[in-house]
Amino acid sequence: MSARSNKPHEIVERALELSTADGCVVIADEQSTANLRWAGNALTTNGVTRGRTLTVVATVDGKEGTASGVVSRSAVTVDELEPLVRAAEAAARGAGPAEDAQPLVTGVSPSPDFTDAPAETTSAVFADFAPALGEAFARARAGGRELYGFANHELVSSYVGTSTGVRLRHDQPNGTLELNAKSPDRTRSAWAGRSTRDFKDVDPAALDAELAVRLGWAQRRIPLPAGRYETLLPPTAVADLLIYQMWSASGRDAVEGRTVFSKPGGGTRVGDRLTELPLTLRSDPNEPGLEAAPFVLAHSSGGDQSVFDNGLPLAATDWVREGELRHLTTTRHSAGLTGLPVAPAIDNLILTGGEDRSLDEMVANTGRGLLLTCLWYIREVDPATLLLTGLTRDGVYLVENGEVTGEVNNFRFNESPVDLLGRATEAGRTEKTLPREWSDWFTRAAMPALRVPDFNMSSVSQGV
Amino acid sequence: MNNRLTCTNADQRGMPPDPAENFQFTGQRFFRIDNGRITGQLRDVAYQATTTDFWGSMAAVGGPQTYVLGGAFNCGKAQPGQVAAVSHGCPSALFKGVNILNTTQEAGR
Repeated sequence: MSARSNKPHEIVERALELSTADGCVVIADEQSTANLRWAGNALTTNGVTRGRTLTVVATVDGKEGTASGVVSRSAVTVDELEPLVRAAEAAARGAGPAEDAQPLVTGVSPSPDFTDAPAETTSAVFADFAPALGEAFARARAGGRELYGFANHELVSSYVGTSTGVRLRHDQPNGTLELNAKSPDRTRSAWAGRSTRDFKDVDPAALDAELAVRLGWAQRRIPLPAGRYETLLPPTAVADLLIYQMWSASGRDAVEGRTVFSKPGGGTRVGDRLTELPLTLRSDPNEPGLEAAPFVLAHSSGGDQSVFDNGLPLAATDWVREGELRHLTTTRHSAGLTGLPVAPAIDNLILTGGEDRSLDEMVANTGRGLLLTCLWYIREVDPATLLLTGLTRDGVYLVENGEVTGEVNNFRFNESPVDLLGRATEAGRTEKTLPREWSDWFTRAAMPALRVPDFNMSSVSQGV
Repeated sequence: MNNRLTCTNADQRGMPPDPAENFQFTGQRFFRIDNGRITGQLRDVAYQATTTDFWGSMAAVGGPQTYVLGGAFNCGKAQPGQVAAVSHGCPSALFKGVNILNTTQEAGR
């Protein structure tokens, strides 16, 4: 097998040629990753991976409608294409009409780099970061701290071709850094995380210094009971809550009365004011530093995405504009079904409209309250209110008269992000953040800290 | 104690990683038991405990006829993440003194 015959765009073209169905969509994802892992102030493992996934969507027109079949396989070469295409066609013929059937997308200008080789990451992405991390280990050791963590960089080049002439390509870099500092007896723990495209904007020394301050705060322990507390949610926590809200913002589910965005008696809450603060929650494929695919990349249908929409251009979308709910997510099919505008999900999320205050400044303006580090293990309790439960982790701090006075025990919370937007009394400066809980699935977020006067800490948690 | 609840299909999709940690499960179906009879279905019920306390409160375990094999297709672990299907069979069991939450009250309504 020559290297030439495994070029992703040629695989896409060949699969489309092999198609005998009425319509065909082929997505080739070329993935490379590099990672570093460390524990106790020393690197423990590093790794690189390479992968290819080919997804074929066959559509078959029939008397009762158009059916679709989707088959994805990894490590596919040119010789293995025909069985894959036939499997997708067989799946379509056996499926019956697809509810979300739409004409495949047409009229989209091809990506100029569609025939170029895929982008690839290597361990070289850590060329500056790894030595700086080594220096942070030395400082941590000298300061009586143990650093643990994981850094991962991924590059996925996705090539999309359709029988209707779409030829698009998107390169998605995706870097995450998670850093824990612990006291040698492991009773104190602090966390910091970063989302990055290339690890050039990540400074281990600064993160270690931040964690050293937090471990210092934890030297004084202040047990507190469950209850409602004024709470400062840092950007990572706000991101985790609002990403879940985004995932729960299906227009169709709302119209069908199944979500927090359903209007009692019918319809949706689009147009409702969610908060008196002038907050705007939006996604934009061209957001600087958070760039995401500017067209629909749907490997399967379901929820609020449709394989028929592959290649559909994505535009900046305000989900909430200055406090008012403006858009719910739709496909072309669910937009037609609900009368809502077409607004597919976009792979980033930005909340703006707060005041130009850092989290430190918000702490300085707090009489008595809790400062969280992050949230963990967030799960849904009730879709009708979008009540979520989860835990605090790696540091809950008590703020008194503008200063952190010690570390509090962890809590389990029960809160709805929609309610939190409504009750928040202050939002700070928007900054890029790593959503800790969802970082396996969603990393591109910019959020402010939020001040909530009565955050529901439902019970005490003994975890670290 | 006369007031008892029976829960079928608790739903939380997994457990926190630390065995001593606090957990909360929402019940998909809860029924009230009075004096040995099911007297009605309840809504908005969740239960909350620390794992070790919860298992320490187990007072009885059902027979083989109560055994049900449950599971999930998407148990995820590790960095980088890995996903696997898992199964977990259990008989019915009786727990005493469990903290029950009303999820509507938890939502502040």
